[in-house]
Amino acid sequence: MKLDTESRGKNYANYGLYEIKEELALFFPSVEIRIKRKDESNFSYLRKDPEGKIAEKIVPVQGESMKIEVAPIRPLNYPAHRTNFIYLKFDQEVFLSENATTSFLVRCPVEIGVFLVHDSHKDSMDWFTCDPSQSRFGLYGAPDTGNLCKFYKVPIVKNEFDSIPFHNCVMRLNFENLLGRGYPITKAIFPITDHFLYYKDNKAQLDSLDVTLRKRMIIEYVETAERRLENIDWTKSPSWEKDTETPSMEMGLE
Amino acid sequence: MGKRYRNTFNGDGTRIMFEEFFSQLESFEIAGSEFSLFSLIIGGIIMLVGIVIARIARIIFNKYYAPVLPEHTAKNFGKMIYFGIIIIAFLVFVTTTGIDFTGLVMAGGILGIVIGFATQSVVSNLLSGIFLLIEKPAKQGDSIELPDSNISGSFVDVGTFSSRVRKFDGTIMRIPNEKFFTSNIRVLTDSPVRRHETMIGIAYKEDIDAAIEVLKKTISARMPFVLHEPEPEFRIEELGDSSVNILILVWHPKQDWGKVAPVLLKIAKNALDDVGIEIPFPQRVIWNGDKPKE
Repeated sequence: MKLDTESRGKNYANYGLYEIKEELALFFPSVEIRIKRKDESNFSYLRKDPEGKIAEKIVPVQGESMKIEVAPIRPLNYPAHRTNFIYLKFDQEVFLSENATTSFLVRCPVEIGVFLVHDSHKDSMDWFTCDPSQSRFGLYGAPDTGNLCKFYKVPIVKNEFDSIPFHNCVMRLNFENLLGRGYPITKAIFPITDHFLYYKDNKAQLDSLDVTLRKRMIIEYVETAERRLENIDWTKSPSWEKDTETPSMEMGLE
Repeated sequence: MGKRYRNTFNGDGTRIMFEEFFSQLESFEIAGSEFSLFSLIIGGIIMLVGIVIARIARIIFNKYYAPVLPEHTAKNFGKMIYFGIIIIAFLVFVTTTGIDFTGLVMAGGILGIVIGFATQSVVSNLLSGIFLLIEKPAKQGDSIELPDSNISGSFVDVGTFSSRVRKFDGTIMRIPNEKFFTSNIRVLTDSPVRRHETMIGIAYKEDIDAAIEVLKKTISARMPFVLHEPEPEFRIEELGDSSVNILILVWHPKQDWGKVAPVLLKIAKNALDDVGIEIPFPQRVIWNGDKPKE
């Protein structure tokens, strides 16, 4: 059990695997999780979120203990899963001159997933956000043709450990300007579902994003591609998004 | 006769038996065409087989292909396949039985005109339905509004003669296709976002900028479905009789009207109450003039 991380004067849990035989309490900023054995084959799970709401569920398990993994997940679920796009608006403008390349790190928000681990499977059991006030939507483009995105104002940071635990992660953005003119960069919009998260203790990282600004004839356009983080000793998070579609069933079950 | 059949019950004998049986059945005439019971039975079997094939084809389509198509398209394709096969079966039936419709058409000419007038709206609705399927003014499940008819709800489907809208109170409204086709249709969920507007008044003595700042902060903090880009907008709409009226315009995801519109005014009112900004009720100031000198 890892309950020893000192963060902002409080004992917050770390990301990682936990095995519960009888009881476990995990504390995150504004969120509290308590897991307790109910009887021989059932555990009770209780989460209190920043808005004071309590989520409670019974988790049947096979075997003597319950194993969970707490990991950062992509920030797409709060307040509801409406899009797979992320809109990161930088707190500072970056000016990229003609034919220049640059690379910098930004913070990107995360949500936290609780996964039930059994028989080498990881099933999403619960998720939450420690910072619901920052989880908002934004529109990129015109109202009729634009993309709805999760919108975050993010700072540019110095290194991959420069994230606020449980609130955000760090991601690297690599820019290349082939436009034939200088270009100011103030935001990045991309589908985050192509990216994976990695964690170490209470810090998290997201796959990098390569952005190439190109020009063909008179049309200027942007190409984006994710780049996997390789050769790092961080643990890859299981990924999960809340499905808004209810599976079709004869009697209905949710 | 029964004996003869028993004696010839083998190979060619069976064929002869049937030929003899049916040749003895009387032919009859309808509208100048001669029919035999045999040809009608064959025709009936063809129609029956046609209907069975149409049903099987529709079941196979619904099971394997419809799930990957949009619901609306799948439903219409299903109908096209079903009725297409039945029409083909009918044409085969007509050819087999040798029905000549020329006589019927001639005889029914005047009747046709009468029926044509009587069924004008039916044909009009049918054709409007086809045009609606081609034009597709809304997708199945879209929230729509017909301002002329004061109908709003979720679009269900276009039928042969009428279209259906599930109103927001859960009831189904059937609208004749012709009326639906010629109506102004406002699709509420075609764009990814929608804008909602509401008005709130503050007293003349209050600081407008401070009130707007309070509204902006509260909406940002308490309404997660309100978009931060574009930001909520605040306009002084009117210097009213009793208040300075501020129009609040917020954008939200198209699905989340219900989480924004019904609560925006309540949140705005509570925010102004919390900081002591007065929302005046209608009031009239009466001045008593000086008494005229005697």
